[in-house]
Amino acid sequence: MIGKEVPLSFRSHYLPRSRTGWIAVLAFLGLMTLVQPPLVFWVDSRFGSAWVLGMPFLYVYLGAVYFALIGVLIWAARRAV
Amino acid sequence: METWVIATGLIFLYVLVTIVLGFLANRAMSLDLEDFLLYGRKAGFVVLYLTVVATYHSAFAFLGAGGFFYRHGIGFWEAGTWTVLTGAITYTLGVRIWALGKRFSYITPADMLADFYESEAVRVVVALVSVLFTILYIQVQAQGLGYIISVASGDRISFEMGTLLLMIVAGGYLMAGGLRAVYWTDVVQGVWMYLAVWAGALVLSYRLFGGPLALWKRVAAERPDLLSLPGPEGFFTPGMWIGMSVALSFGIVLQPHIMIRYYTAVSGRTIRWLGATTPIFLMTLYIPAALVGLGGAIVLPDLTNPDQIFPELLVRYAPGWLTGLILAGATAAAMSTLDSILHANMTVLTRDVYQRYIAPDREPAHYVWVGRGIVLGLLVIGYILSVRTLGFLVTLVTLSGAGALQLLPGTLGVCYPTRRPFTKSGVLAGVGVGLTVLYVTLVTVPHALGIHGAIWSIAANFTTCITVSAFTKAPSDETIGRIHGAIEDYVYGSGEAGLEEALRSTPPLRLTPPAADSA
Repeated sequence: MIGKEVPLSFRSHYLPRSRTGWIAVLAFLGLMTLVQPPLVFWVDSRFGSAWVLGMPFLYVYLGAVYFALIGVLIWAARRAV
Repeated sequence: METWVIATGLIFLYVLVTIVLGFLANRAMSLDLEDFLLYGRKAGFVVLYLTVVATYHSAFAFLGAGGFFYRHGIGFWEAGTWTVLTGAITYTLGVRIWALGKRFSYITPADMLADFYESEAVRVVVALVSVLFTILYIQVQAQGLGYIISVASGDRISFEMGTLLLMIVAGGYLMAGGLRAVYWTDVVQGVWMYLAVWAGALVLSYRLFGGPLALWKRVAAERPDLLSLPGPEGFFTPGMWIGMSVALSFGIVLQPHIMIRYYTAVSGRTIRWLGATTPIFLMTLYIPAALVGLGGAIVLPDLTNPDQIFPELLVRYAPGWLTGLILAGATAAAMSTLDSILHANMTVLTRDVYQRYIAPDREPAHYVWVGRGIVLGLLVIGYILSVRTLGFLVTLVTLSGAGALQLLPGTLGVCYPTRRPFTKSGVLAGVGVGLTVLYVTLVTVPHALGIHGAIWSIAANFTTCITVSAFTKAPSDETIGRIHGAIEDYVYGSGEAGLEEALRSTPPLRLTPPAADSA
């Protein structure tokens, strides 16, 4: 068996197989994109001088997205995705 | 009462608590290898949660994180990214590792990879990578312990004596109670370190600035360069941002002291909730670290070693009892990682080397005692390394963060079925090329083109693994069907009920017969 496909019948394990699975994965990836380059650097250059609740915008922005990401994980766990 | 007396006394009080817990764990354990090495695969959510977070956050969370904010500014809040990613990896990959460990009685990462790739070479390479890139952390944590107790006692207890003393305690309760002792002490350590960091940061920010919000205003007024990307020294480039996110999430999860923890969970549901909620602890610990580091940059701007900012602020500006409480918390952070690394290395060396190649058919008690002997040997090596600074060690420590990351293709190949599975040749070639590229991009040409060496190395590893796997012999149909079939059935089929049923109908070969004797 060299360089051939293994004769097993299965569906991809990298793609969700349910609607809630797709929602969880897309929500997580979408939110993660918000805290990765180049978006996070654009946010810093565009809103870097702004303040929210007495704290720098970038600090609050990152914190808010992190908590949203955790929210997605908890939602997924509650739905047993 | 003098500050050093209170501080040292609180540290010794904490040490006493860990010794008592080690003694109690010894009373509860049996001379069974799964009990000694894996807590009998019965760790519930609370215990597992606190041991994972306490192990993940080492002395770095206390000393290094504040230092990073002090030197590179708000960019280090990127830490939230890798802590959340760690949770997601645990949720998706960790649960599969748990299921396979339960189904096939795996104890070490090498057990799982060697079984799937049907290769002793894979076992040896995985064991070597597991040990080599974590054993150095023994030195790092031991040095942290020596430094902490030296600061707390005002140099009345030397660095060398403090290191020796606390290493003996950590090794002692591990030898006495196995992983049960590590888990029980980690519960105390996890709670203590979290409360200590928050309490210290809040007290300091109110004493020095009038509160966190006033602190932010002072930083904006006096050091605005600390509040923007890529930071005063230009450290947090896009390439470094992504690279640190990958290296400090996947890289740490794949280290044996974290991966083995997945095997110990009582259920897959426990692992899922662990993944969903550990980022809360891991990420929010960096909030007070930001206050310490950024506030410290205003109050003590000329510190030679930024990693000392937290203890320096405490000694100068905090009351003695609080300094002691927090330094005991720092001791807890370092010890909880130290004992876990000692345990992981002991497990790998006992299981993957001694039991596999030297003495395969001994009684469980024999392996438990060999494990204890290995811990003793690791303590001696760790102590010698911690009181000597050797040039090549500095290089190895630089590599170690992303070293375990090289196990990612092989691990994904086991846990995520694909139509064209990776092969043992592909995995071995990938690890070899990945480690070579890691050396080049972290030591010879550090972070070439502004991209973290972890990214270069894992890209080279995956490319090599996929290419070589396309032209080499895959694992047998029987093995692929057995392992990937178990994953398919657990994740998308009958779940935990099916797993239990499979274990009842075809129990896995038990590694060691159970024994009721008390150690």
